[in-house]
Amino acid sequence: MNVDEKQNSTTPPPSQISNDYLIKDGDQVILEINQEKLIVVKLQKNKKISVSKKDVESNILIGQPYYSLFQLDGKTVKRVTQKELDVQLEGIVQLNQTEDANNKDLGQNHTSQKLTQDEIQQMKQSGKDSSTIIRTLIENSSTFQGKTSFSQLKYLKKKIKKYTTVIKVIKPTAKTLNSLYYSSDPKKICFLRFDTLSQILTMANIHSTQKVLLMETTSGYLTGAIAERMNSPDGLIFVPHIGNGGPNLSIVKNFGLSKSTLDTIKSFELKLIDQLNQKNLISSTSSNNNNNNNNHDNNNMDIEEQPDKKKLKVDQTLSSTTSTKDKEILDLIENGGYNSLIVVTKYSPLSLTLSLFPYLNASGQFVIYSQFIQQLLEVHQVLQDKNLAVNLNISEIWMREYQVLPKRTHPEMSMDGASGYILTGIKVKTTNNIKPTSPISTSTSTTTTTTTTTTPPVVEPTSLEMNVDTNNDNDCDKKRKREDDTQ
Amino acid sequence: MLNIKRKIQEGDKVVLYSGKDRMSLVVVKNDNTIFNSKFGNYRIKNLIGVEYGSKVYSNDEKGFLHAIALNPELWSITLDHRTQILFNLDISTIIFNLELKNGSKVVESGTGSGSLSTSIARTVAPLGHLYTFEFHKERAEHAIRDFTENGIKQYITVTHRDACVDGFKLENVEGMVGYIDAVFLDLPCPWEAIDNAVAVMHHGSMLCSFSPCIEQVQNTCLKLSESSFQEITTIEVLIRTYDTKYHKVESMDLVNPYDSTNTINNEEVSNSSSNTDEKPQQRQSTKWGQSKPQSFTVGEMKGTKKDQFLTNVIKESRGHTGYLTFARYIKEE
Repeated sequence: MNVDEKQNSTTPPPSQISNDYLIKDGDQVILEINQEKLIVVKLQKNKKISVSKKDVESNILIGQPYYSLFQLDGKTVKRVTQKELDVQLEGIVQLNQTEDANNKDLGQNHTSQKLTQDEIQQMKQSGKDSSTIIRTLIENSSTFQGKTSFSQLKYLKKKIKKYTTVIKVIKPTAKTLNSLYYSSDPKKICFLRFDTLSQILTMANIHSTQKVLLMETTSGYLTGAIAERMNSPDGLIFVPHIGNGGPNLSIVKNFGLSKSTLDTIKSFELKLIDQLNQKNLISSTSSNNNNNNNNHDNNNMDIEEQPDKKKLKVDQTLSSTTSTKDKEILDLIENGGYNSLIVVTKYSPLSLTLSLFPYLNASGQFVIYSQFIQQLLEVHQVLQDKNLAVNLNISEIWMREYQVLPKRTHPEMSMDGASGYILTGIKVKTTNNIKPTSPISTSTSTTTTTTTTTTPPVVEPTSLEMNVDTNNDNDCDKKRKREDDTQ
Repeated sequence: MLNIKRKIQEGDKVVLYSGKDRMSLVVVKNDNTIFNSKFGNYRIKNLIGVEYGSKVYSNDEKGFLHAIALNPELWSITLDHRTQILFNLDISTIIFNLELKNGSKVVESGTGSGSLSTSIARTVAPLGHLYTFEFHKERAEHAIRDFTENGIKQYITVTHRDACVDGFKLENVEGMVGYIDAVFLDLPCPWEAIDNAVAVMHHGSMLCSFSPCIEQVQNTCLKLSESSFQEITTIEVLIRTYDTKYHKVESMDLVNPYDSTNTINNEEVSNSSSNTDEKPQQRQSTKWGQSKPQSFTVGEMKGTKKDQFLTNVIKESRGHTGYLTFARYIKEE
């Protein structure tokens, strides 16, 4: 299930299925029912799960490999292979061998089936197996024999789904869970399609040691997807939540993540960040200081435990915080060393993005998602006008599935046209601009040393000067802005 | 590339950003190297100790650029292309659908310019590994050089080999055969490599084939369905990038026959907006916009001209990159 176990356990010979791919007691699994519906269930020994109104003993599934198929036919449940199902399907009836069949005689009315609904229902309740029922249906169909073998097969597949249930046990991953939620309850995951999600994970530079600032209302789906990819105790996913009811990360548990990875997910109220911003705003206007994120430290990652949300009083202000818990939270905000910011919520992204933006390191990447391009336009405009970011791009994805069959390959007739939009960019510093002070001609005397040390060389005051640039709207900026505009 | 630093050190590869189409990769050396660009000349040495993301001024202080840390996405833009490289969106989709994560063991063929390899290495490091195969000797050598320079060499094994003929099994490499979590094929005849892929894959692992032509897809899918693969799906993804910037927008000041309040005072119409359709943007542009609205005339007709922040799809778009076929290997017992 997780990497820790994989490494500790003795590796089985390659001919066997690895322990990771066997269904275990206590696993959260996805069940694909008749290749149509997906549900997520927890398997527990000696307990029953309900599939299509029928009870299935968990024990039948436990110990079998993932992606195995189980057929619920009549009153029995047994493991089957795809080949067995194919044979079963072909065994029902001899398919049309002639090529010249067509649908010229096919009527639009529903009179081709001679059996009544009651008669079919009776057959079903008598516990007859699916093959017998379908064979009877075909015998009583006036049009079946005139169909091409292709459409006959299509008919059989449709019928077999109706009279038998085949379930496939799928290992939950970001991909398989996406197809589950996107098909059953897309709103729950902010209509996040798999390709958009994949682009978010790439553009936010998610990897094992990344420190991610994440604002999401996808019930923990995105948090889980990021944690799954990082799969490491060295990362950090900081997910502020809105409201004092605690974070809604219910989907995270479906990923089957290891404890050490789960421990990298931290959450507390967004309100605390808002209060901190308010405080910093007051102090910066009074002392005319530079930005508040200059004391970030990449190595300062000694946050040991998740902040306890229940102990935090709503009315508690940050200025009066004294307990160690609160100090840890402050540390988590200010010294997280975040190089990645992701905003995927049902809310308008502008205020959320700006609120978290000060805590993203310069040169860090951010990805803002919205279903509506206008909302991203707003964010783009503010970030550009305030010179907070470069390489700003709004994009959407056009994705099409294909039916690939011999001589019948074409794009699927229906496609999903709404990928949503993402805004990507790289944060830049707005203060402490680097200006050279000495002309090139005088620098020829500088000794070139081939240093192998990893510590950064001390910046010599003669070669560099840190200028606090308070006026961001200088000529050069304007010139560049025009340049950017024309690109 | 994977250890994100705050400050630029000697030996770092730094992206000098002066526009979306103007990004250059430089290696920071403590010598007198000068970087010349349209926006002035820069002494590279001066970058040492500077915080990543800083705005750096040119030697004459007239131009500037931003010093950005290198990542796999910027690398794929700035690297020197030896082959047709995979595009960012295809890479994202491949990595996601192959279910890659830290710890995955991956086989790739061919390496090409190493753009996908770099993204895969970023994702599977440090617990996983990428075994990449390239039948072009020079490309394989160049890739090794790049991976070494980018600090990801320890996660990638580059092999100069024709994988269709000689397969993916590596001598003296433990924990490879039967432990591969994902295989990626970018080959002229991917179906010829599928048996070799199966030989190293485990139950439940994923395969992806990238092909520009539908005939290749056809053959690949046929071979996959004959070789105990399931969930065979073929998709195509294309990115639509939006051009977003300020535009000078002119609108005519006319009487609105559907709004009685607008018919009385024409002057007011010209001062406020007559463009009722775009209310939110109108408000935005007066708040953040560059200049105040100006009036103009066409003959006797009056109008208002102002900056508006607008977006539309970039004209030069890519019509096709390749078809992505994914399948899961289900071991038969």
